[in-house]
Amino acid sequence: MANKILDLKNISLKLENHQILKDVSLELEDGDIACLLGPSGCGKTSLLRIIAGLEERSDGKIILNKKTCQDTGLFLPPQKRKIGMVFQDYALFPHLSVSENITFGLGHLKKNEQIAKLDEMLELVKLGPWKDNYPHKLSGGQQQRVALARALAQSPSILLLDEPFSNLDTELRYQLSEDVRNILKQLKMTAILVTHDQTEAFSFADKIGVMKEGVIQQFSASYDLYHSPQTPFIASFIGEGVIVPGNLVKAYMPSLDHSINGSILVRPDDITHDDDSLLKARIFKKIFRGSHFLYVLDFDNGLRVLSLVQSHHDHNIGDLIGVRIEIDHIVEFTHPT
Amino acid sequence: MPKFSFSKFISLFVGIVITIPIFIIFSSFLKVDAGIWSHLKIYVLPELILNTLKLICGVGLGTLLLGVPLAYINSFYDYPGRSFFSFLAILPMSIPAYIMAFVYVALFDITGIWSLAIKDFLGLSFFLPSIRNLYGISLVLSLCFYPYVYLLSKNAFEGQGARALEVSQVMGLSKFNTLLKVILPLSRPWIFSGVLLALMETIADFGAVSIFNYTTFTTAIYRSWFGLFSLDSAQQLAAILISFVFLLMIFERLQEKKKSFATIGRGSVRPSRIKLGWGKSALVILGSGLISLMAFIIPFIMIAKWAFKVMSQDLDARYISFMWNSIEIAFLTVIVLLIFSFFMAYAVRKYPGVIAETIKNLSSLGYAVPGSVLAVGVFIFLSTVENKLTPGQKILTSGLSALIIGLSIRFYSISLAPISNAFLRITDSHFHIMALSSNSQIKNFFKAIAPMIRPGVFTAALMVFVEVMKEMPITLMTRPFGKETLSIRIFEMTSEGEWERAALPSLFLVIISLVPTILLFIQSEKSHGK
Amino acid sequence: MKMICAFLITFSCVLQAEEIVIYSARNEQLIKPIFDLYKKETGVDIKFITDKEGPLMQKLKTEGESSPADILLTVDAGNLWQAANEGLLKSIDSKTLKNNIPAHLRDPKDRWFGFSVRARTIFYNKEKVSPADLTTYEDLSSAKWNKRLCLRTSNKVYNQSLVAMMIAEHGEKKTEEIVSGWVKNLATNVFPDDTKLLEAIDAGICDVGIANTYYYGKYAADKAATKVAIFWPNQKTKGVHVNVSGAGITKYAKHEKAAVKFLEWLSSAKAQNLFVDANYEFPANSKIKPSDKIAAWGTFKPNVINVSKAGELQGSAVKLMDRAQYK
Repeated sequence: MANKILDLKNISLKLENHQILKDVSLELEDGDIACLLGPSGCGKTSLLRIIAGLEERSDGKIILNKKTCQDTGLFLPPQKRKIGMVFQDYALFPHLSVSENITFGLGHLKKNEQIAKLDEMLELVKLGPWKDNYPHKLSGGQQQRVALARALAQSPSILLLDEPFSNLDTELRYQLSEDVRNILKQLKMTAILVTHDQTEAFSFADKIGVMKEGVIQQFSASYDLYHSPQTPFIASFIGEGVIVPGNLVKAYMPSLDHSINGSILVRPDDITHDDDSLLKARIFKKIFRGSHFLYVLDFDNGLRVLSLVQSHHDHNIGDLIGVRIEIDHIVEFTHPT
Repeated sequence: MPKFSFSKFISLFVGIVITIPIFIIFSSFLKVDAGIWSHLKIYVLPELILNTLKLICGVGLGTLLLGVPLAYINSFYDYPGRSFFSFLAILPMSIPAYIMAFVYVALFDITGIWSLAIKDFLGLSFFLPSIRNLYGISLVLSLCFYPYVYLLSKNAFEGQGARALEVSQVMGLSKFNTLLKVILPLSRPWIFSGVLLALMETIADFGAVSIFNYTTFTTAIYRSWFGLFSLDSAQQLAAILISFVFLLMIFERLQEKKKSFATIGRGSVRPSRIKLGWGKSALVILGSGLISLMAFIIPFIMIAKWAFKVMSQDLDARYISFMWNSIEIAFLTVIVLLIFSFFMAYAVRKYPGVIAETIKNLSSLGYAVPGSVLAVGVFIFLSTVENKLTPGQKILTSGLSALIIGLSIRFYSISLAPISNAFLRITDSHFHIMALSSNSQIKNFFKAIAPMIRPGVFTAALMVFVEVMKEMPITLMTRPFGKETLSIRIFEMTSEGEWERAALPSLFLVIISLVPTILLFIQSEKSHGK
Repeated sequence: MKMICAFLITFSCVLQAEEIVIYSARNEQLIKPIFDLYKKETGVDIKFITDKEGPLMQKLKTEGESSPADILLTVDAGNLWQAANEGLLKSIDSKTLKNNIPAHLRDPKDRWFGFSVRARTIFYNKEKVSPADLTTYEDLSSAKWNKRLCLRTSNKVYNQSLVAMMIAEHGEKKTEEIVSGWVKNLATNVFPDDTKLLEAIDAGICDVGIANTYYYGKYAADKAATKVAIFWPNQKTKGVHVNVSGAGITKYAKHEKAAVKFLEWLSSAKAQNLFVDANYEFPANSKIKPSDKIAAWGTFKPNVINVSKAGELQGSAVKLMDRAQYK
């Protein structure tokens, strides 16, 4: 059985009458790469800072690698927690070279151990040729790799990444996030990534915790998040889709045999285009997606859904087109938002 | 769970010590002399307040117009002799304002040497107008104080990073628009604190305005004290002056609120300087040459000329001890102030909020208080402490302690401004990285913080050193017996109007001030190479 | 640390009989030679601190009983009056001082004595003014001097004392008329110091002005030839306005006897010339002749109203000058 690396119990944070976090609990096992996903202001960065010990005002218990870091009356300062951290703004020291930045926190090691660690890190992030350069000579991606190497050099028990790729352009961003994931997997490093970008979260993490208003609403693998969202928020936040009254759908989908009281989630891929279908819907809006069009469709009874249609089916707004409704996983909410 | 923090404690302590003399000045309101106030209100204040506001506008504008363009050109452009001119630009700081004022009055008063020479040369039948007016005093004080704006703006410009400039140029902004829309707004806290220092010194100045016979609020302060024998009224007036400066600080703080001034983009790469063509170079050289001529070269030559005239009569072996004492006192004050302001700036950066901000601003006010008024406040404070701690023994006032503490209170804002501005360059993430590393606090200080705030520290050290060398009222009041300095020498000569004899100690003062100025210059050039 | 303190205290006790401590608003270069001579003659060491009058008095006041100062030496009777008024000085019972210093140059309660005398008198441009046209300070307010008068700023205590003395003589109403008349007659803005004023008379910017004699002494000594001449006004009335620089024993003096002895010596023939000549002043001791240079200015009748009046009325004088728009 895998080792439990991080164990958060009932973390709460209240600042100036504002509840930032409410009873958040989370467990991570050795080698897990997790992600905290949510809109800005949901408390994800605060949670990261609490784990790191950079925010001293929270309540709750933190056990990190079998060591209690925080509990009632106990607070371990950040430097005693063995945590590595990578920031959005890289936070490299402009007056230190790449090597000096990487060895910044290695003062406790002997000189030759420092050099060994440095070489290992340079090899890992492939920055050997740049080791004597100053940060401003490097590209954004290189700078972030230096920041990663600096964090990993301390051999942390967990690595925390605070929106580390958001300062980079899209292509570099996915390339780098993949590189970083590979490095972490290679080191079997436990990590938490904080981001508001779903694609990044899906490609980076094994498990994703979706946060809203200081609460982790669901913590599970990305497939489950998409197909079995446990709250309407997650349903609408993860992937595209609309939550509509079940009876409206039932009118067009007789196979929906059981009684529907609440609302159900309809994803764009649940609605397929078929010119031969007798069921017609009117195009309200269309968005070109390269290989596909995303159509917003209105039915006679007021039902409005999304449909993803191959882009050679180019219809005009206002056209009536034939569709089929085929929902494989019924996700039902009794109290729709 | 609030945690005890060493830096919070020290900065609170420093803030309190520095602010007590200010509170002593405010406590004068316990004894209000209604007769004096009604007199001041009718006959004195309306004009003097107006005069002071005009002077503030004049010097504010003057220091901006001299300091910012010079800093801009020397930070972003290269031209033949740039090093030399950017060095010359700092030098006026070493000339005391009252000496500069005297030089200008000696040259350009109605009976001024040059005024008369021009009159004779042109064969005029009338006298040229005197320089002793609002424009004259604004010019002279601007020439004296623009180096504050220059130094701080230069710190800002050079620490700004190339990225912001590149971005704005890519977006199609002209160089001028880049200056207006990117460089200046990003440098605002630096420029403001430079101008504020210049204005605080203007407000507190009595020497230079007296020579120009330009009456300001400070004139009323001294007139109430020395003429009406009411120190209380003088302190009350000073308190009003301080409150005005405090409001100015709050106002600026509200304007800056929520803006971040950390370096944009990748670290603090300095943009490589753009080479100017011959035409533009010539213009720049002409411009900065003219400023330096007026602000340093002419005054220096006049001082040297007078000094040589009185040298045979006044120069003796004691000058060695005058110089040594000046240097010793200035050096010790620099050390104390760097430590004080480091803790305050650190605490304000680390634990931002209304409390830290207020303590910081309150403790910066000493610089706006007319010298002798503050000296009394300082002296009352220190002798009370002394009497309580060790009755009958003078542990503070018999040695240098009182003097150094007094000078630190006076010049605290001068060292705090560049150092706390330098802290703006360190991001929260930098602090987190330091906190997460297993380094000791001391190691983090030497490895990360110190190098990053270095330009600010050097600027602070230089400005404090030079200011202490020139300072009179606190040195006069709190020095131990026999500890005579160059500035006291200047006082002895000037208090009965023997200005030309004051040139000799002034000359020494300027020459000694050259040393740290050169050091600052070398370090700033060196770090640019990196 | 304690030991060092204790050592210092005993050490200073041993020296106690041998030293005097002076707080002086008179410049170092004018007092140091006197102190050096005194030490040579008597072996008594004089420690001193110079500063402006206001801060010095405040320092004395703040230090209270623990003040090391024995003597307060300051310029202008107004300041001496203020020091006495604040209770910083104590009465001196010395026959020698009373014999040597005329009554109008010392405090009526003997808390301070004047040691050097300066006259604040009228100066004129020889080429533009005939001395026959000059009579009194008061006359400078008459229309014939319109645009011909130069004055120094009213911030200077010397002018405050002069106006205070005029209030003592004429009352506030008449004095205000005179001062307003002066202001009306000004040829140019008031000057920051007496030397600049003398320069202006010399250059012909104005024809007459009021300045202290010792500034003229220094001014004339620096110039080969000058058009500025001295005039002694009010000779038919009360006399020329004089002021003193003087000294008193502080309330908590630790070396009172030695300090009194020093002041007695300062009023003596030996010290007087050294004390006043360097600064082109007149001796306070009327038995002593001034230096030849000063004697050449001629003799005059001084106003013998007690100079302490200057202090008493200084506040009124300042307010009056404010009202009269005298800057």
